[in-house]
Amino acid sequence: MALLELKDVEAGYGRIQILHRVSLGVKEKEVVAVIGPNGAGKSTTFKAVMGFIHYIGGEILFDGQDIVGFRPDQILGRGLAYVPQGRIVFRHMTVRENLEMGGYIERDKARLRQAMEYVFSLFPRLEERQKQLAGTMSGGEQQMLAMGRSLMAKPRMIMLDEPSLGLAPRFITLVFEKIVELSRSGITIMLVEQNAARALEISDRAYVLELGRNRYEGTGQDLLHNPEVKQMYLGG
Amino acid sequence: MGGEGGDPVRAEGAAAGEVTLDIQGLTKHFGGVTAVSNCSFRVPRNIVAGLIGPNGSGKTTLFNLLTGLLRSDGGDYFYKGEPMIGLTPHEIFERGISRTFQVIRVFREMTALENLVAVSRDGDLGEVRRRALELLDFVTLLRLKDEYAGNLSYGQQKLLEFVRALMSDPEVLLLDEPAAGVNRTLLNTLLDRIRQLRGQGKTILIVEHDMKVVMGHCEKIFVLDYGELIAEGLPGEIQRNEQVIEAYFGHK
Amino acid sequence: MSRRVLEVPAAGASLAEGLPARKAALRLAAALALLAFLLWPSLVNVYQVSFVFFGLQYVVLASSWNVISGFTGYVSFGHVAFFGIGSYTTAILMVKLGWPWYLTLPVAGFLAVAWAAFIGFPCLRLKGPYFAISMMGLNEVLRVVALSWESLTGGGLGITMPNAENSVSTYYAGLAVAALTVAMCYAIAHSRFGLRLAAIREDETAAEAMGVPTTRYKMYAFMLSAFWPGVIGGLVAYKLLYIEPDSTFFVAITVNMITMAMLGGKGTALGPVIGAAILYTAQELVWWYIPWLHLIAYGAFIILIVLFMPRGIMGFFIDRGWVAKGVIQ
Repeated sequence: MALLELKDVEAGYGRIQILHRVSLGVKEKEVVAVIGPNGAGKSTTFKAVMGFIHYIGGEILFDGQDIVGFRPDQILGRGLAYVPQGRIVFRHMTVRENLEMGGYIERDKARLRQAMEYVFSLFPRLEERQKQLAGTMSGGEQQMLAMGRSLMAKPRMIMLDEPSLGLAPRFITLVFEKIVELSRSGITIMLVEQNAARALEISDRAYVLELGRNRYEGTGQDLLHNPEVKQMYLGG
Repeated sequence: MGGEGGDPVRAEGAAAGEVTLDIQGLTKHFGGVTAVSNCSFRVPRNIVAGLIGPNGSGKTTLFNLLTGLLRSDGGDYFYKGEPMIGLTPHEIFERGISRTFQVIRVFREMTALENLVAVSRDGDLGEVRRRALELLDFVTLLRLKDEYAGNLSYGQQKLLEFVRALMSDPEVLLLDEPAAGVNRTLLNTLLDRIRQLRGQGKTILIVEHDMKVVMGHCEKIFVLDYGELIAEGLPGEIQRNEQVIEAYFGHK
Repeated sequence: MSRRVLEVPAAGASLAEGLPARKAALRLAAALALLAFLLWPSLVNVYQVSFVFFGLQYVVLASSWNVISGFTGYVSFGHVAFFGIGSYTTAILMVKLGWPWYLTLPVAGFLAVAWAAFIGFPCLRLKGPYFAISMMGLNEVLRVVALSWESLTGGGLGITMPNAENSVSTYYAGLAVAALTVAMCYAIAHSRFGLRLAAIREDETAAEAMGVPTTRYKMYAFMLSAFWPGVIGGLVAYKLLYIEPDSTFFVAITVNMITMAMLGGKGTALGPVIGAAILYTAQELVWWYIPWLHLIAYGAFIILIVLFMPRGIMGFFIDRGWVAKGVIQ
């Protein structure tokens, strides 16, 4: 039933192990958040799925298929997209060009155009500014662009890495609204977030990691109101 | 519950002996983003204090302002009553404020010993060398004195940078994330040495994310969020402070 | 002054056992080499004297380049400028004012230093590639000035000095200049000044935050790196008895000194000497025996060095523990 599943995953950077038997699952059409204090290994989880870091052990399954060792473009081809931390857009290219880069693996021009219309329908603001240079947009708009770009390959699921990091409060609201919209349009979403409160507000379920290990698990609302989770952030 | 913005006259008065760092309304903008916003607090003399806050709250920027690497857009800061705004990193260093960096900046193609000797002041080389060896021993790195700093492990490099900042025998030590990426053993060594330095009368301000370190080893904690000071107090107080919890957990 | 400090076995302590014997052997070799250099002119013909002379020229250039680029990390792509200034100083003083060649040499050196001080102010604020290219650009400026200012420099026709039998005198002068240059580099490398330069190279921001007066020291290093190239430039001008802008401000000379220093190990005092000796000899041999292959062979040689010995020959020795890692132990 789970679209993305991690079972006892161990991974790290070279000799430093970050994830210690982390397990989590995301069902189709769910919004699942991964939260935790600094150094919890949240972003590392995504990197392990995408194969960016050293894999040590455990299972990573997407749509029932083992994707350990797959190249990022292969993973994207299976329908899992990744939006990295930091709004990495191509600053000297236009919005439209950025989106085209997102659809890079699509050879068919008709399908590419279709994908772009699809992204524009979800992000009308991007359509308005399609000729604008990405580097001149606000942080919030760049985050939209990064998300839109990931949707060009028409993925079934996207992994959002700290979408609100470094954004002004009004853009954070905008970004989270967009995430809810995307979920409603049928895309499965997993997000890693520093801003736990906001992430839990919009999540169906969530996992709390600490120092690379599972700590808590539950629905968004449960965890949002669990005082132990809050205290964990301050070393309690 | 922020720090009070004192006036310069007060800083030069009787309180000067007890307050080492008097930060008044420091501000720094980067383009449209305000990284540090009217930040004020006072660090007492001879203490281990923590400076915490969520990512992007301006902690490292504040350190860069205090050490002269960045020019502030407003506000003042006093060290033992003396104004420090506008001084170069070199001048601030000369007055007794030393720092380590979040991203390690040891001199990689020089040996551990050379790293220390390179930052020494002029003076008898034999004396300098003796002090450098002493400091290396202080952090259990003596046997690696002739090894290239770039070949040391991450934790060892952190320890090296730590003692490099001590070569000038500074009164104030600003440590930027000293615990990040360091294994437990080396971390314990580091924390013990920090305690020893406190015992020698030094004032130490630590930016840190590791809550166990902060809550367990800092006598006083200052909390930043969005570049502003939102709380200061004892570890227990901070842990129960609603505003701080919200800053870390996220604003709804 | 010498204190009994805690003796700690350094890495490679087993090598230390053979150390006294090794050191004695090295000293003996050095003494023999020195003797050979001193007796050289009386043993061989004029061509071979010149051969070694120009090798010494490169020892001076590569070592000096190393002071600003290898020690301090400000890589210059226009160091031949100082050589050129020296050459023209000597030529002009000899031809226009009738000075004897040996008196022109210190002036040549000091004018090169003056130029370094002048351009150092703006240029040492530039980082990495910008500094390198600005040096290259300034060299070109000097070349064009030499080309255009005909009344002073003879323009494209250059300057011709009166004929003289100078093979032996220039050889010994060159030997002295090379010895002094290497001695200066060695002294810098083994001093606290040199350590501070290395700190600037490794991380200028951290160095400054740790109290190293970076602006001043960069300027000192730059000026020191200009002096001996100026002197040797003057000496070479006298030896050749003819100079003109293109061959004096010749970018290939810069390329040569860079590759020699890198081959030998930039950042060490002996590296450029070794690199100059090997590369210069190799160049001449290739030119002599397989001239048609000369450029290809030279290029291939450089590629092999970059691939297999990126830190140069001295780096290779250091990695194997034959040479100590640090200058202060």
